[in-house]
Amino acid sequence: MSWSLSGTYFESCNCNVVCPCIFLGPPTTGECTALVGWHIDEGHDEGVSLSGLNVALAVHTQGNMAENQWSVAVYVDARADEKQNASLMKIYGGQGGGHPARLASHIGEIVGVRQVPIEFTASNGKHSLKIPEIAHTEIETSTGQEDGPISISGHPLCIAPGQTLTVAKSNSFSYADHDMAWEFSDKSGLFSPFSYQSEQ
Amino acid sequence: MMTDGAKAGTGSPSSAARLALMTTGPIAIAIGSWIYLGIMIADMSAIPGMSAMMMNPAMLDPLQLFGLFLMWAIMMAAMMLPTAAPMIIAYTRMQMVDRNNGAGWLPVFMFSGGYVVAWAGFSLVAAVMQAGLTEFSAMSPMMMKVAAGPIAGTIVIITGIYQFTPLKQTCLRQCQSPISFLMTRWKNGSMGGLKMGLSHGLFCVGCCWALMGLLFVTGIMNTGWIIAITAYVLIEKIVPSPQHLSKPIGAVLIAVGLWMVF
Repeated sequence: MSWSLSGTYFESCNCNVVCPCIFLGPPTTGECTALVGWHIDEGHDEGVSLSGLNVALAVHTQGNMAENQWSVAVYVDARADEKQNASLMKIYGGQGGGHPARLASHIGEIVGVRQVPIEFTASNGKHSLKIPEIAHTEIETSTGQEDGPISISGHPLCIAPGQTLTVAKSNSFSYADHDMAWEFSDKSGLFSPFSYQSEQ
Repeated sequence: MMTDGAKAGTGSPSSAARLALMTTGPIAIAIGSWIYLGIMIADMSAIPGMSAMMMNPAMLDPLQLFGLFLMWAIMMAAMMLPTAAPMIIAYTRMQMVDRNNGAGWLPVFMFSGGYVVAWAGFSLVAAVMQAGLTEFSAMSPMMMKVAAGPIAGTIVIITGIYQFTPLKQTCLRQCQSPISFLMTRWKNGSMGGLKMGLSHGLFCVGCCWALMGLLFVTGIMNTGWIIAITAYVLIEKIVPSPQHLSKPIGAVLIAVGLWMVF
């Protein structure tokens, strides 16, 4: 039952910069449409290596994210074999405990699960996620004091507890699948390292 | 496999019923405590050692001290568990995924239990204080009330001042935001639930201990004030900007306290 994952995650959503949902506020437009991607640098579940794999969620919520249940579409890396896929589904579905189970407790409905190619890139202050014919978003780090990054820590609604978020802005966002179609740019983006473990 | 997890949702009416079922443990503790509290108010001899105490107050007697502790602990469980409802409900919702994976009902019970244990810790201090004040004749053993005047006034002033302190405001913010607490301090399993309940309870004690001090002034078994303090604590926890409430109330308490002293 012992597993652990660590790497980088980012989220890109329809809120203005910066997304109020992470501070338990209502989404800018009253509803949330977001893409969340995880790139696992190092991961294992018992003997199964999960290193190098990607996972993505498309999230939709009406109203405040802390108070309302989320609808999500799940995307698992096409490169994952049967065992890796089962592990990732277990962990991200909440069955493996740990922080993913806390996140899963916000999910009211899973509209679909697909195994697809997921390209996750992070370089030059840009993070992008591409699922061919389904989703594409790129966020770029915003600059703050002395041209440095702007960071947020201690936010309550956290994908990666204990980590400091860096504020970014989307250059593009498009998504179409499961009767949902969203397209916008210049909206909120956030990224940070993440680290999840099974219960000790 | 994943779709099982998807049914963890709490939006539908049937899951509201399920939520009520899952919180049976804390609801039973709260109702039981109120019933026993009612019995104690109606007839103080229901408190162990109390009959002896009325005849011959000997506060260092272990049975009498235990009786006072039990009285306080039950009163605190009755008063404070309802005010923890937003936190207990949020915990229960968030624990639903674990339950779908076979975690059972015990963690919700343990979480509430940890909360009650934190208040029992406060109750021990309160019981010893009551015994001490009674021993030095500063408090009536029958009325369970400190003499009117400087001592009563000082207690009210301390309660009022505490409303303004950073510690009070910090603890209050913790009690205000269940999601924040649960998302960042989660511990797995029944023991994890107990520890989280205990740590939430300690924040709650940090927030409300001084308010409980008012009971020394009003009479510890004063039904009206027991209900009023419970209602006030609940309101302080759920209004959006509690400092706009807690500070004026603090100012009123300081004024009343000064009036009582002089």
